[in-house]
Amino acid sequence: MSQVLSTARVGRLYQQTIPQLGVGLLYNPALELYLDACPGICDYVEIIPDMFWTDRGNNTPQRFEEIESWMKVLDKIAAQYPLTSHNISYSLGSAGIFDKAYLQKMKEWHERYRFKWHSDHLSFVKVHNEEQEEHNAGLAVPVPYDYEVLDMIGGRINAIKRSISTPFLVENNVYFIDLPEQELSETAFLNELSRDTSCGLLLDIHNVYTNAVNHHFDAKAFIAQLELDKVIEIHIAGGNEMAGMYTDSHAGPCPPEVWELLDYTLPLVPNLCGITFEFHESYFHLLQFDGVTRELNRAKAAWNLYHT
Amino acid sequence: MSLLSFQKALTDLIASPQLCLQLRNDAAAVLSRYDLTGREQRRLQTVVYQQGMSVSCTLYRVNRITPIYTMLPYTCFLLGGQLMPVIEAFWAIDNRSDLQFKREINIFGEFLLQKLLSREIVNPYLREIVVMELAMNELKFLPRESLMETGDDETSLHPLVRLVPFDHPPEPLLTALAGMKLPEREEDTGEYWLMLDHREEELSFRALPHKNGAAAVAGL
Repeated sequence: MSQVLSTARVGRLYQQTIPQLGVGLLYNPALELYLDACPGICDYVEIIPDMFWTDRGNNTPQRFEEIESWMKVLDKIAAQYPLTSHNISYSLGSAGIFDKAYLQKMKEWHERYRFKWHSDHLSFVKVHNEEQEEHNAGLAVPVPYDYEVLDMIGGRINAIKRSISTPFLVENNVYFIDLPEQELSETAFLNELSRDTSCGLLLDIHNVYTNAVNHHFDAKAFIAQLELDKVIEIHIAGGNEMAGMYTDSHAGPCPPEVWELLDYTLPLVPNLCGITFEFHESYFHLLQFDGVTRELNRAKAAWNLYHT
Repeated sequence: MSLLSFQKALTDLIASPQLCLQLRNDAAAVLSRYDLTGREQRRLQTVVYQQGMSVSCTLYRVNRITPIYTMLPYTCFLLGGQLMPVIEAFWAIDNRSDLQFKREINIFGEFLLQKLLSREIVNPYLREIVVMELAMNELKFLPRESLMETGDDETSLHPLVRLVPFDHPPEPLLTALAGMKLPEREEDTGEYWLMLDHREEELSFRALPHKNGAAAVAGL
């Protein structure tokens, strides 16, 4: 696959312009050899910054201990590909203190790696007790779609945007529990959040598919309810069954339904700047190099229908 | 305070299937521990009956066991059927997971060594393998390049080298474990050392004949 960097084409998010990059990969350790062996195989690489350091905890001196061997790989990738950042530790939905030290670390990384955009999830992973001691929830836990939470998350996104000028996106949730008596739907929540903060949307199509399977709704109707001109990035992935539900495990190739949803969505998202394929390294055996290339080529063919 | 308390309650439930059952059986007793609105209480009382809560509890356990299983594979193999009960006991004491591999495995490793010391766990090979895997992980996280430049002190062990005491000859034990097997017969115990060396890019291993031999390599 050739590397097509559409430098002349840009997506628009409120007052910002963003380069339309093409098809990217979410980095995991199984991809180091692949990216070495297939230079230019994708148009950008998305990284989870938290993978590259050990976080020794809030209020610890020299809190973020970068892991040397991982940083060497990152610097090699950064020399070859545009980078985007997919965060997990802004923890936008945490009701406790917002982690300003993490924000400062990310500001430094934006200066170092010039990410084209960055993102986090509509959920929380950091939990606090009444003394504001923090621990990790163990998974991304969905927030209730209430106005109180909307205001809180909006405040965090505004704090991020004041510190880092790079476009910021929020990803729709995958959720297994269904909280009753919510004041807003997820789509209404995301739309209002975008209007309130000028953030973009990261539409994870596999998350939509997962939720549609588990909670029995129409995935296309969900997508249609979003303000699709705010969608800057799309995630595609695979999953598998666990304990009677379909999970967002990033287990190998995308199922046919995800490709169908991608084909449905692409004509509706004029400002889309990237489609990112995600898989977990523990499922690399299901893909191998050829399988990763197949997924990228399939996504690239879809992208090219609207971006060449 | 309410949303903070709701998130604490929800994540406590996700971390503990037992607490979910308690809430089903005696909601008032569990909910009284938190500062919740009526709506938040109804939300929690609803979700503990949902299949999605079972999945969330399972995902929590999978995510939390992943660092241990990834970074301490031989330790997990040696624990065998004891693995889950031991991990459950560990989580009951240490519920401050931060999903940081380094911290999680160090604390779990220390927990296991205490259990071995108190003979709550009895396994002939476990102590030396836990110590070895903790040392391997410690080396992997060190800033290798800067230590290569600064770590050349002839009076002490190089900071990128570790000597791990073994009670069994390391080679046959590690060969068997590499195939996820136990040694066919338990070798006589003795005093052995395994040297872990990360001065090269790849971590290397060398068995030393017995503890006295260590003195000869301590200055490496």
